Amino acid sequence: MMKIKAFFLILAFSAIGSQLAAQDVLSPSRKQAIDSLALEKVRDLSKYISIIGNKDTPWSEANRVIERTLELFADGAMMGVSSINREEVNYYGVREYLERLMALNYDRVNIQWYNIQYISDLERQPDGKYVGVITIYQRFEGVTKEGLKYVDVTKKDVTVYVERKTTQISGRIIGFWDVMLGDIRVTETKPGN
Amino acid sequence: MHKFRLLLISLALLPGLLPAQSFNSLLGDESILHAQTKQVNQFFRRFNAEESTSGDRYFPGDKDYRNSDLRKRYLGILFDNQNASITDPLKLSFIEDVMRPAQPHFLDFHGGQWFTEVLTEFTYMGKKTPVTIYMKLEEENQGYKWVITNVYLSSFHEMFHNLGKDDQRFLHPMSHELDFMNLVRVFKDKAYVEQYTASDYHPDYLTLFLYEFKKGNLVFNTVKDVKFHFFQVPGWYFELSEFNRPGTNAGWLISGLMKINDNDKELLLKYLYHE
Amino acid sequence: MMKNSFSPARLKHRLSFGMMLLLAVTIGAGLSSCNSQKKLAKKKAEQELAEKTAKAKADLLAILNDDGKMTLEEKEFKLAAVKRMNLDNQEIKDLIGQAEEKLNRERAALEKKKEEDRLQREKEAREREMRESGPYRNINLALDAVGNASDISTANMKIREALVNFAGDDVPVLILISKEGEDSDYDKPTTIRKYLEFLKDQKKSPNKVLNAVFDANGKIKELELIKK
Repeated sequence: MMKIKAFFLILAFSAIGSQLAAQDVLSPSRKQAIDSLALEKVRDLSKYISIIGNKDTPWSEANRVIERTLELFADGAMMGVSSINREEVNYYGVREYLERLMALNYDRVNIQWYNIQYISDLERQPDGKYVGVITIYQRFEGVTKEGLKYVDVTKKDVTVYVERKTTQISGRIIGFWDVMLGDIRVTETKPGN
Repeated sequence: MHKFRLLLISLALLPGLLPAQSFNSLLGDESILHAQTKQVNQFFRRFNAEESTSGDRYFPGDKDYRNSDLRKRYLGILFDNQNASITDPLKLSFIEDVMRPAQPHFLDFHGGQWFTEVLTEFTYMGKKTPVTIYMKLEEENQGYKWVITNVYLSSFHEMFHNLGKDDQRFLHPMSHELDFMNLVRVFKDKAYVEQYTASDYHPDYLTLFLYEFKKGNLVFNTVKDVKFHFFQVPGWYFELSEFNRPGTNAGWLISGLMKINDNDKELLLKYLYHE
Repeated sequence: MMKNSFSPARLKHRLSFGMMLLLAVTIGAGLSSCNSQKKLAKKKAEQELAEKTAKAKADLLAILNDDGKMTLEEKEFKLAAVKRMNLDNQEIKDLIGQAEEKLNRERAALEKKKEEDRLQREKEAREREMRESGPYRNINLALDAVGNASDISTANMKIREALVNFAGDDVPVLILISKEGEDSDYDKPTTIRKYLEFLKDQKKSPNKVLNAVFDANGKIKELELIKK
């Protein structure tokens, strides 16, 4: 009983506090520019994943692209993967995930991305950075030497961190948005039949 | 009959919500993914009509921001259609209430009065154990974070199951004269020790949980399920869950709906917290 | 004959007496109502003047306290309306003076901003000209050639060709994503080598040159891009 009271007291306080922080400092058009920048990074990631997964990509190129992909991510980012038959989430480091993708034992791999995406609001964290989630969908098809085909469709919810930073380039102060990708939740899904 | 009507309703509503059909032999019908409510964030935007039918975000000041016709259409598709307990009259009464022209109700991410229930799996003393973690959003430094408010572990609750039961176990009021030598009896039997506590004692399961975790007895394995409980609409409670299934009635949908008064609310919260 | 004892002349006399009485009463009433109407009209005029003055004062204060909610035109219109009232009131006259001063300042600032905007547009037009023809054209072509390369070896060759225009692999590349007044938002700065590899991997060339700084040898030492 007392706990419930306390619970509501806390709720009431957090509601008051939110009035201040909910006011957005950025204009919608600046926000949209940041949204599209974040979406660009996620699209870049999609392209890199396709290159790494492609069996025609030379080994050295794939490795270079893995390094380039990792530059998109914040340190310690993880992939959390679940499938239709297994509800629990399995965790992989991003490098591990990409290296597994490169080493997949298919003769042919075809990765396609749906045109559907969803960009969440950017929310401010206690450390002042902003965080959002971009959802994209991927269709993966792998064919083995024996002609066996594996197909899945996954929903990828990609964490995006956005931080305003400044740097000096030949004496000029440049304000830029540092967009870093974070954890990615990968869920197998069956969109339709 | 009931289901059939719902189907008709959703069929009638959907065409407006779908973009031009884009068929691709391999990717299938993308409009299905478009119709699904892909994030909790999108549930908020659709509930409030802050998103166009083609998926573009509306900002305050935009012509159709929170447009009531749009809102009515969205609210109709935000329910799990396979849940028989959410009847049409109940649903309509809820929609009518949140859209009341004099005082419409919108969901507010930072507005409190909603929390999450996350079903996880830990290994507890070497055994796979489900643990429910309750969290809410908390403001800090003009930003927000999810914070743990409570946990539920059945074995913790069982440990205190004799609490509050009427029994004959107590330290008699003259025990002090014997230097409480009878404490030996209190600590003889693990099952009943909680009966010797004060009447307002309430075990703090979160502290217990953190203690066991720090001791190394609890090891995190995985997240199994997530849902949200909303009390933001006055007089109503609803539950939000994710449905990973084919078709357009999928994604984040209202999976439970109840008309409640303040009394019900306290009971419901106790129920949700397994208290 | 008894009927005749009622004389019509007497009746007439009586009637006219009654009429006079009635008339007298009516006129008297009329006179007094004429008096009060005059008072009323005076009162009304006073009230109207008071209302006018209050309205003029409110409008003038609104102009003086406005922080940008009203357009300058709205404020000028309001001020002109107040001036047309020709109110003989020192407070109003003072306020008009202050408002005129404020609006003159605002008008001057607006004209200055218009002039600045015009110069900015001219500058942008010049830059566009530079981008689309002049010295930036070749750089744009070099960037596009990398993004459009059909295979890896062609792309690598195009990267080598493009790099010839630059002072080194580490030349900073800035990409402008939005500009609102004084606020310029950039993507995270990168280097030309990384940017060219990005074009090769992504098989696209989404940006064009906004500005380039050349060194003494005619090589680019700083590149600023903007979305096409």
